[in-house]
Amino acid sequence: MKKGNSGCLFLLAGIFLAVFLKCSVPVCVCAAEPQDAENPQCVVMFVLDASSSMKTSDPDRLAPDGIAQLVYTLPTGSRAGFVAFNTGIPAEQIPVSGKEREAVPEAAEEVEYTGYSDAGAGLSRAVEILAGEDAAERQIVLLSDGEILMDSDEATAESRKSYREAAGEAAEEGIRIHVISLGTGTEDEESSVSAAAELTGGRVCAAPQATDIQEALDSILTEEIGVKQSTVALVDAGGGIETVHAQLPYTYADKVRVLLTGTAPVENLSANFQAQSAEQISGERYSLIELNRLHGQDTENGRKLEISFSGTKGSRVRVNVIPEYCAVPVVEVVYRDERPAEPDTAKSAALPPDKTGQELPGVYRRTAEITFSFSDPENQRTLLWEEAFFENGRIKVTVDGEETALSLHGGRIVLERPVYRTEEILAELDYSGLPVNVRGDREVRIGLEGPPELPVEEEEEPSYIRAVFPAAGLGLLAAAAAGAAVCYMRVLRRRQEERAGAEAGNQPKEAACGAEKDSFRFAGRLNLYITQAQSGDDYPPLSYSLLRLPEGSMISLGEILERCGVTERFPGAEAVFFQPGNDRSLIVTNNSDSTVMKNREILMKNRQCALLFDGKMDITFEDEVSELMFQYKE
Amino acid sequence: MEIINQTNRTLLLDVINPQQLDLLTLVGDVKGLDSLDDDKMKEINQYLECRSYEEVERKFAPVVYSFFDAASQSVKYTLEKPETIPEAMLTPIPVNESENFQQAILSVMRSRKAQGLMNVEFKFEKVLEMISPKKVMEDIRQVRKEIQYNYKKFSELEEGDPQKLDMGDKLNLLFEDASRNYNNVMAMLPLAIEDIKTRLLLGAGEQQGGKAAVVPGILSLGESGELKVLEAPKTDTTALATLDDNVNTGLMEVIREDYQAVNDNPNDYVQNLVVRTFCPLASTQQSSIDVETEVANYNSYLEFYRTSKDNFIKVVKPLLERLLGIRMFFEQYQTKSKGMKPTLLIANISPEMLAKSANLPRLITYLNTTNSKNNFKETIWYAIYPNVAWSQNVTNKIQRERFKGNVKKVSTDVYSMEALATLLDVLKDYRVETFFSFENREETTFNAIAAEGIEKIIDKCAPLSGKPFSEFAIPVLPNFTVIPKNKSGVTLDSRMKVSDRGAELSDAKEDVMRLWIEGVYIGGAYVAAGFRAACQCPEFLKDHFTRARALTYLELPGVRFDIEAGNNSLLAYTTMPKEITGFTNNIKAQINQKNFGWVFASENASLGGENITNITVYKARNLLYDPDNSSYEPVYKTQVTTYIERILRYVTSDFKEDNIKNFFSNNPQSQKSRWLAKKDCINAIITEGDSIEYSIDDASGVCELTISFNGSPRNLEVQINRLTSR
Repeated sequence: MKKGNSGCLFLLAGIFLAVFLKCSVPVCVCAAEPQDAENPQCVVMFVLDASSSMKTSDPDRLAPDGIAQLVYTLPTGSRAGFVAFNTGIPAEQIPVSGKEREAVPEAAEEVEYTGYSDAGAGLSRAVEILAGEDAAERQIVLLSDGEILMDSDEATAESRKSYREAAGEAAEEGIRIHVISLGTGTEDEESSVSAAAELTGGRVCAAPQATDIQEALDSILTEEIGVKQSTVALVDAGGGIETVHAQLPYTYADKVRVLLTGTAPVENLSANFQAQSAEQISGERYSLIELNRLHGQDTENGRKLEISFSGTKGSRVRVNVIPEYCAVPVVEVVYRDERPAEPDTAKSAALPPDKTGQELPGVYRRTAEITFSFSDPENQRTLLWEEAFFENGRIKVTVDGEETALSLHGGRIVLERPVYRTEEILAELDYSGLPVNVRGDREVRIGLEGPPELPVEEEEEPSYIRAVFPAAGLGLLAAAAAGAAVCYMRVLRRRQEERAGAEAGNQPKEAACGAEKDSFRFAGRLNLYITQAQSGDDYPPLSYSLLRLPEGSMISLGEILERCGVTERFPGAEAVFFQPGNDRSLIVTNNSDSTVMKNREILMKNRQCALLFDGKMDITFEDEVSELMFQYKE
Repeated sequence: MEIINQTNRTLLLDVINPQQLDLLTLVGDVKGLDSLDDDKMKEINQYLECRSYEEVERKFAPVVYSFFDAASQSVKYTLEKPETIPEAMLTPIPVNESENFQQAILSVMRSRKAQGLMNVEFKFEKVLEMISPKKVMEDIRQVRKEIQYNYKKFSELEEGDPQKLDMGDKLNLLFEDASRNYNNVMAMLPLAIEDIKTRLLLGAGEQQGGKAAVVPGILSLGESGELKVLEAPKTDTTALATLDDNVNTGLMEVIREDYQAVNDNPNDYVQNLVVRTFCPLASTQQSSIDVETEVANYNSYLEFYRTSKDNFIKVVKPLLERLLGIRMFFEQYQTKSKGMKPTLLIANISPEMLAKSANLPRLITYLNTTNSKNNFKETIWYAIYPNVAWSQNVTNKIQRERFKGNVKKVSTDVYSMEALATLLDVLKDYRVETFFSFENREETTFNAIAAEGIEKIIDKCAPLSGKPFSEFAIPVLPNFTVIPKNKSGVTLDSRMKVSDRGAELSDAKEDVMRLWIEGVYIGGAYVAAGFRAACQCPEFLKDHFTRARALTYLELPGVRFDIEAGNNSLLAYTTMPKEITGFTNNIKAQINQKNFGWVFASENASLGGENITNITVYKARNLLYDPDNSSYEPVYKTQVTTYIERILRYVTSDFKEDNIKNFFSNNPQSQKSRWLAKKDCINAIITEGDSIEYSIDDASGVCELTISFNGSPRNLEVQINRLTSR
């Protein structure tokens, strides 16, 4: 709401200031069409060692199961392929996308563990296939028990050689190889397959037990492929039916995948949700529910998810949520024109030049305020990421090779750029800083208009000015009025949305708290009770007076604990913040992975809530051991 | 009053029976909870809330566990169930009115109160003899008489007579009682002791002065007319010369059979002992007595009995003192028509445990539920924190202990000042006034205070003064003495020795078996809380003030009742009997100078010609120091402020501005006007000289109330709720 208002203010300021020094003109509102996923962001080839030694390393065939899990959790636009190797290449599947990706787990499932391990042939084939793929990221995930071994020494040497060559080729092509090394591996460095990972900057994950494959794949998925997922529950199964309730913060998400992975099979999975369509895929150690376009996402009820399942007694089941958005950037440009401070040439030469190296004399100094908002391709009126959950999420914008990281505020990012002439720029967007997976356009072309000429000085040509100014004034006024109308419409729409959001209980407090937080003073004190510490120490109750803190400041829980003389570190305490709110409330912001609870509700990461006098909150810190309760007292 | 119908619910911060549920366990995990649900509260009340002492005994079933320690050849007692000892080896001894030691203590209290005697005049030893084997045997004799009488009747009746069946029922009950002791060697000990004495000394225990064996004789006149007692002809047995009959033979058979049936490991010695105890007349089949063995047995039984009784008393005494405290809490409420009966919520957890950081959130959540709602049924108004450690500074350093002195008491059942401060910090947020008293020892009794003054106690309370919670801390002094330390000796019996004349009780001083109870006391906090809770009830006040022709309004609680004002303390006083002759003027001046604490007085006083033999309340102050008047604040001010705040919150729908204005308006229906209309009553909220004003600061939205008690103002700030009023 603030942004919309400021836009208006600029316009109004423009109308008046045009006569004097500045002028600002809104110029274009453009929205690009969603780009087809022909150029996938990521292609992943799975290379599976199918030699007979794998019978020992993976007796339960968890490796094919793990590959299937990873394939289904890849973002929608990604492509996946598969190559298996033993004495030869018993199976392969060129990269496919979408529904066709099912072919990969099927192929992996059919492979039998037999014969020798010609990793050289396997990797060469995978690199060969990937070299023909056009994608931003190309990666190979190799699952092997670690050793290249053929029936003869010559053949072994040959395989090693081709393995090294393939790894070298991959490095040249920019293909990264991640190796999951099963079993105890080998001490023979030369025979080891893990060398390829080091060469290509990939990751080596050891999985001493076949059951560790899942964890290894999970780390590759999150840290290498960059898939965003969050754990909503960790359930220690008791043998009966377990039910997990989750409130998903992902409004207007295109897909939400719910992945259940366990140390033992998960059975009787059922889920309760409202979605356009859904699909369930289950393997040996995982179950995945893919929900397409949750219904009523703008309401709390629509984002509610209830899952029940029965896990083997004593096993631990992790429930992860992988949200995926389809976003179309919408660009709006507002210009801010200023008369150069000193019109003399010496000074203007000192100003940053444009691409030609010169700032044109006799024109305004123009700054384009490029606002990116993001809409849902299915309903372009729906703007994404306006909720507090996404507040301060980072999106990188690269223009002319210059990268700028911008923070989301109310679903928008604003890039300021000086304009010296009419031009078209290409902005590349990188969404990896957001807590969700995003597909859709990453490149936007924006047309920018060059700065207008400076008016001629009054004393030199009074008659001209008299003729030109009213005309220019009128022109500007008309343009400003048009811009004002656009802005007004935006403000109006936004207000309506916010009202609707407030009615649906969509965090009205947070919006209200966040808006004018700076003007409030701290009040009261915090009583802290450390109920459990990692060290096992018993801490006496602590009290911290907030009154001494300066107006509008912010303090972290970690800092408070430190000031209370607690030397022990509570992981995550440094990312729980307090700031004053209206009506002497205390705004608590959780930017940590700790579990922060108030009135039986979890304060999600990157969210805020207001605490009134006598209100209390409980925190289980990131180490999942230490706990603390604090009460806000008058 | 129609809104707040109780202002005396009290939380006791102490353990009664660690095996029973406690507040922490019942509250459970409170992570993310602001308050507890109604079901949970119901459950807590079901287990911990008591409205009478009998309910406490029923709900908490206080118990001492005993087991035999083969290593030390002795009986051990413990309040906490030892986890390493198998259940079958443990004997729980319920600490209730039928328990011998408690009976003795209660008898002391009752008879002292009935006689109105002070500690110095009362014969404690006499009553305390109740725990000696002699007295135990007396009780058994009563049972025995009944058994014999009923068995006689039973055997006389014909088979099939319905009356015989009734008699059978009665006998079953009597046997059930008697058989409880068969398996319990400890319970058999006093019987065995008395039995040996009876057999060797012909019931010497029953006759005063009989210490040597008796030889039965026949009175006759001699040749020259002189009176002679001739030795009777000896029979084969040494059994008592009483007539035998069929009835007794039958009864003996029944008891023998019963013992065999009930006991797992029957033993001839105990069987005969049981038979002799319950059927002791001549019919016993005793053929010979080995006097030396019997004397040795007697001495070792007596020694064992003394040691175990001594151990038992040491263990049970702290528990008993707590139970007596609770008993006295309820006893203070003595009124003809019951109104606001005091309720006690027993936390059943050590306050030290409760004050741990890890546990405080549970207490806070519980208090949030009871005290932060507009439901005043469960509001906690008072707390009792007894047994604050009396850490003594050793001033006289002794290099060598020439004489045996007092062993430095390292009590485990005393609670620290630090835990009290921590709990007070929490309790003050919920405006719970906490009565605390120091541990039970000679230094905290009337005697010591009368001799030494209250300086020491003021010093010890200094850490709690000048703190935000001081207003809610009420130090109570002195503690009450049930049995003074110097009069706590109990003579059990004397050892026996074998002389030329056979067995006889020894006269030597060292052979007199005595045990020392070392004083039994009641924490002042229980009595003070009980008395204050009783004073909240308008019916109680009415009962006590009718004599003074004072008006009582039955719809208002006694929150403004100032016990210190006028003759109030002589009209409403505790149920505790006077202990000493009084404090000296010097000590009273010391108390009055600072107006310190909740002080009880054992003064000579009379009102309207009637002597008051009970202990009265001399001062009722908390630790909030008023430097302007150089005195501590009276407790009623705090409670009136709390009461007004709670009523105001309720009546004004959580401090709505318009409603606040209505509350204080001059409209006769306004709350303030209704209070003013009752200002002549003894339990008025606003009495003559008091005033209550308010001012609203529009800028900050704060309403400041100024409540003046006889000119001394108290401020209360409430945040106005303007959601609907503006």
